[in-house]
Amino acid sequence: MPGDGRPRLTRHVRMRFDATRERHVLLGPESVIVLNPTGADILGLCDGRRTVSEVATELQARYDRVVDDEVAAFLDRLVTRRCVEIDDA
Amino acid sequence: MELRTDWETPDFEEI
Repeated sequence: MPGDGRPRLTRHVRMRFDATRERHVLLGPESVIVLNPTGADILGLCDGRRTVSEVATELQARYDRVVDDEVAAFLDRLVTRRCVEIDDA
Repeated sequence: MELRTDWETPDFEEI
């Protein structure tokens, strides 16, 4: 995944906080995806304006360390499931 | 002193 791509949720997917699970979830047309806290933080920054690199940089203010490859791999998996799309820079 | 969260590999579970 290029670091200068700009990730965002696809049009048919919304992120919500599920109070029962106490986790953020992605609601799609035919599935629910339960996110761990790090994943929810990443997607909260994916607004189609920030690049993948900028998302990772912002996370550095919140976490003791950030593994850029793990951020990219996480987004790649969601692209595969058509929950995230990457706008070209 | 600034406290930062421990990094946890981002993950999800599809239901």
